[in-house]
Amino acid sequence: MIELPVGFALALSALGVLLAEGQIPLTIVVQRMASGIESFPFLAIPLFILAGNLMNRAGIAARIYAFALALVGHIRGSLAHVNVMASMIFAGMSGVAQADAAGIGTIEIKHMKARGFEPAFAAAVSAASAVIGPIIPPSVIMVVYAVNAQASVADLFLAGIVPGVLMGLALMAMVYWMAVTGRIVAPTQPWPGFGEVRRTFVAALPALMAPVLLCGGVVAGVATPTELGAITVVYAIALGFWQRELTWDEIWHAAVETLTTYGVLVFIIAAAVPFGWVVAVTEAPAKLADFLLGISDKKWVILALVNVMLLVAGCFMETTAILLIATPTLLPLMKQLGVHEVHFGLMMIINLLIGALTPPFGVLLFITMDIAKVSFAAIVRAILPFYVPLAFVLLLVTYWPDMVMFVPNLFRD
Amino acid sequence: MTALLDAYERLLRAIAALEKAVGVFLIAVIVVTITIQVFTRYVFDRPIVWVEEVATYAFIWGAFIGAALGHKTRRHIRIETFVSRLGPRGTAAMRIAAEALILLLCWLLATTAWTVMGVEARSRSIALPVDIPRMWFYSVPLFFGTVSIAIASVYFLLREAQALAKGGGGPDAGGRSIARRWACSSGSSRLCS
Repeated sequence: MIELPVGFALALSALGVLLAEGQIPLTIVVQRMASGIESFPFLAIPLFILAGNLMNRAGIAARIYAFALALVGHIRGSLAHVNVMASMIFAGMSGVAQADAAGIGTIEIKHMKARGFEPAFAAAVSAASAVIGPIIPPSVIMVVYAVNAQASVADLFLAGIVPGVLMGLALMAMVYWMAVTGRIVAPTQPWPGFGEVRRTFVAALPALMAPVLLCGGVVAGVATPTELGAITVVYAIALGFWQRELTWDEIWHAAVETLTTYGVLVFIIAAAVPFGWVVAVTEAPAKLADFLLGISDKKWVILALVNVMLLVAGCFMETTAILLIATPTLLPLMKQLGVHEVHFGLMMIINLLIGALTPPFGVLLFITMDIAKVSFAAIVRAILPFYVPLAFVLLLVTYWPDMVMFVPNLFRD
Repeated sequence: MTALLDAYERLLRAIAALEKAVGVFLIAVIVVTITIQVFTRYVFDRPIVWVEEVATYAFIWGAFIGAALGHKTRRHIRIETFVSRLGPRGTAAMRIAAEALILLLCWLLATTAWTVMGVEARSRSIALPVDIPRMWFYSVPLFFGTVSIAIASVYFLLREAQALAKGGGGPDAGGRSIARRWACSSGSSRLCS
């Protein structure tokens, strides 16, 4: 394993295969690399990232945290519940898990450490709850999947709401069990009373309106997700100035951060374009389908096998890279088995996000261990119990398509 | 050698500053144009066709500029778990190998993009009111991005080689420490500790 960035490795290996095969001229592949990212839905990527960065810098994350603290701080497990709750609410305006882990995660870990929680546990809860970010809309990875699978972004967004909330509740159930059985040190906060809940709610209300605006807009079909991304950015800037928590300097930094985050992401997308050709040339989808169908022709067995394959891949590779390779390879087989592309997309996205929490390559662990200043071994030990609720949600999503498809079907004609 | 590399670093910083300014401007273009699009559609009931195209081209340019800037500040996602166990010399050697591979890829992409420019120069944009050859939105940004990445990679390679000649210097030796410092000054606080 040399320290070669994911996007470069992807492009280099794919171009190597194509050069060896010699069937497709390099000029056509390179031409497609730039034109392959020319897609209007992709414009939502920088917009969602920017909106999340602005919300983080405009003190909106802090308001959400205060509201979550008043709401669930008194339950056994205390700040660990607050952590999950705040991430769930923040998920409604941020589209990348990394932003959740680095943004609101910083606030969460700081408070948990100050109140006597173990730093490794604080880092683990923040990483696990950051996974909810891209499942509850908006979501950058859903946009990437939708464009690749030619699925509806709006349907995917709507399909993510129920599993996202469920995942938050499952994580909170695990926290509660750990607190009650004395597996974690969790000093409880006193119940602040309804007055405090109302006060923090009002303070957080403008921020809470953003996801309502966004989901409402998608459902009503008044604007495309890209346009709603732009409106959310304008809303965040207006809100930040109105509450005097945002300066031009902060906006500049948020934009620079957005530039590199989305540039790196889109570079991976562009680098995966030649990989699509490799998939076509080597007839990988047909071969993989034959292989899987050779093991069993039962739908549930194949779904289980696909999940295991993706989880293993998620341990060693970056989320977007796997998504871009796996979608063209697996989608034909899934359609053959009668799995809806939105259902498959959600299953794969949840699976790959769990992959971002598994060693040796777990991006979210790297981020929160840096913030909490704990060792990799310590955070890996602390994250172990949280695989149970996450795997539980993944199982539900895999084998209960109605739960996923319920909300999008509700709004279809 | 060190004096030369310091001058090189100043050059890279200048390029990075330029990329930041242009990139942030492009993001602003995306936000403003798309907001205008929504506005014109609902308020004037008359969408402007070329607005979407302007936003898309700003997106493509911004992506390649962002990728190049991200390479300078080491924001590209890498697998570092194993490298850190190799010891200072091994780490430096691995990083040199990685930068060499990046240079190989940049050379492949940039030379091919150069050839493609000739082909794309003949096709035009569809909806824009001004007539601009397509290459300005496809192969040209790709070419600029890869050249900018290559310039930074040469620098990182030389820094790592210098560190290796001195016997290596831990995980933060060579190019990485500089990238970390830049990332801190650019306001992304996550990398600073």
